Amino acid sequence: MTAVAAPRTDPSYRPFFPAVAPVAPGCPAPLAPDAVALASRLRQRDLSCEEAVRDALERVGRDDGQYSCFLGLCADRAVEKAREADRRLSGLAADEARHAFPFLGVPAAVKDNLCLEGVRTTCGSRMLSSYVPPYTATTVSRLEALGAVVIGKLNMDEFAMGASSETSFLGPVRNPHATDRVAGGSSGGSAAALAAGFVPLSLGSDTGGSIRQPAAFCGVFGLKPTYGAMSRYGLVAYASSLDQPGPLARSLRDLSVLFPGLVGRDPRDATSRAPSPPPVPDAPRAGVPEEYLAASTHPALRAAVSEAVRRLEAAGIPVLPLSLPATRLCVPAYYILASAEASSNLSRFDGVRYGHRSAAGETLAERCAASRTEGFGLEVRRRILLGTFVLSAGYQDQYYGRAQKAREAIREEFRRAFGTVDFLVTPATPEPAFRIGEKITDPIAMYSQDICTVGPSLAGLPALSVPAGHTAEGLPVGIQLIGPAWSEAFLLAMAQRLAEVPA
Amino acid sequence: MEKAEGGLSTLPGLAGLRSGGEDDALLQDLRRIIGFVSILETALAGNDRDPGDAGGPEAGTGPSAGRPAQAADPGARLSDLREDNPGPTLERDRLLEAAPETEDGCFRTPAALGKGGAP
Repeated sequence: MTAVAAPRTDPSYRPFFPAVAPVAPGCPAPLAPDAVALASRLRQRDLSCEEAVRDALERVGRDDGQYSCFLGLCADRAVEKAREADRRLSGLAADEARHAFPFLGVPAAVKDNLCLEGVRTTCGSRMLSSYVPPYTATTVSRLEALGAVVIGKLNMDEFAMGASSETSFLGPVRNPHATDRVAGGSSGGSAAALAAGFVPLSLGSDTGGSIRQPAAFCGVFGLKPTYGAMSRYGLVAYASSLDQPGPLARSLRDLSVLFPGLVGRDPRDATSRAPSPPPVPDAPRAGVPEEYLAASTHPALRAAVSEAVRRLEAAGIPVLPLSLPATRLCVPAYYILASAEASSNLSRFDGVRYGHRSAAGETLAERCAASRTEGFGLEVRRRILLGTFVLSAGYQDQYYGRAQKAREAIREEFRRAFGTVDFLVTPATPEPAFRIGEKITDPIAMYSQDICTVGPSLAGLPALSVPAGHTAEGLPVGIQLIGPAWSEAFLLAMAQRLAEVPA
Repeated sequence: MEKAEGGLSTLPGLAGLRSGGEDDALLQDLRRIIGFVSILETALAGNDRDPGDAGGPEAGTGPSAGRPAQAADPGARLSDLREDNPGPTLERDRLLEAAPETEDGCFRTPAALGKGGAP
């Protein structure tokens, strides 16, 4: 194995594979280490649900100026929901409550591209700065059905387009581990709010790595489910064939309890499906694709994978080197396909059907064009232009058609790999969190950050971002576990095995 | 890429965006991005092998994995994909059989809003 993964000699790397990730140094300790523990305290009536929710709201009000995790709070609604939870709790035995509502009264927050009825949903964009949806996303309804109380909407890259949460119209998210660094994107607020200890659970969305990369940058767990596992109804669309909502948490057990409650067929999303997990292998085998290691430009990421390999082998899980050569095509194929879908999905935002309406322009067409140009930020316009280009007459076969073929080849390559191994171990990112402003003016440098995460997105596979330690400067590094479709529970179990091996 | 140059200036109009002061910078970025994604052009050049044979039996894993074997070259593997061939569509009745609900010979989908829609 050491022929593939660099030996763990990188002096900048400090291994740490927690089952429960701590909040960032300097952040106030939360009421409980994770959501399961907090829910248990609430059931024991150590404190009321209202107290827990008010505590979360106070923390955000007091400290979020440093990080900008939240774009808005729904305090009145949250307190009312918390009171409902207290009333419900008083009528239930503790065991009953644990089974029916495992997160009853636990504060949570959702990315601002998931609709919540009556609560402003901006997608981090001027375009939707005054949009109040008349319905709630299925995923958010399911989170609330588990008892969680949504306290607010989380900052993100505009329309989920970015890898740093810097393209938000309302300013960048700052990483609680180092406030001069990005929190990752596009679900930067979802990851940073956990690392700052504001809430123990959050929802994000992942199109090409938007849950996994910020989770890795902020030292928390993030799960990109199998495409179709979680309903996209009420998720503002970016690239519909890739978009997938997903949960982030500070512990593996939180994800293990939360995820099954979020998945399932939704008649309002034709691409959603009932889960069909594969059989759990008796003697699992892991693979490490060399291309993902080569893509990691920081030695701490290679060292983290090497440490993961050591731990897996210590746990009796053999690890094989393997090759996924089409990896080098993933980022170009992703940007062609995602931009093409974005140019179509975002055509509805014209100031007439949806969104910001400009005062400029004499004709309807001019008014729409002015509304779109004023309403969208630079990165969104860049991707709309790219999408328009790759779909335009004369170039569709050359770009879009080829990207579709590349996607099929990438899928096939993963399928073959899972004929030999049961899951893959890769770095979650090429490098730890970079500085705010470092890459924002160079789109190619920013897009290249997605190299470790876009492959599973293109193939529709589940992938789990797992905290794996720190650099000498204290920046979190994360690894990624990728499995065949519907193997989420298995991936969580493998991450647990990693955490249980002694350092 | 050269062919693409001529089309770029018309893109803002096609995309429903207003031409403005940032156009030059945006189009310059776009040129770089198109250059970056054009790797697919070379990787997908040629179409002369069966797609099921992509990379041979050892592709992806096994003893040959971990070293840059010729059979595992993405250019060679992607050349294996066939051209799209138009074929007959599925029968309407068979499609409708698979629909959760139908109405007047069409798929019936739930209302997004209003009666029967979101609560």
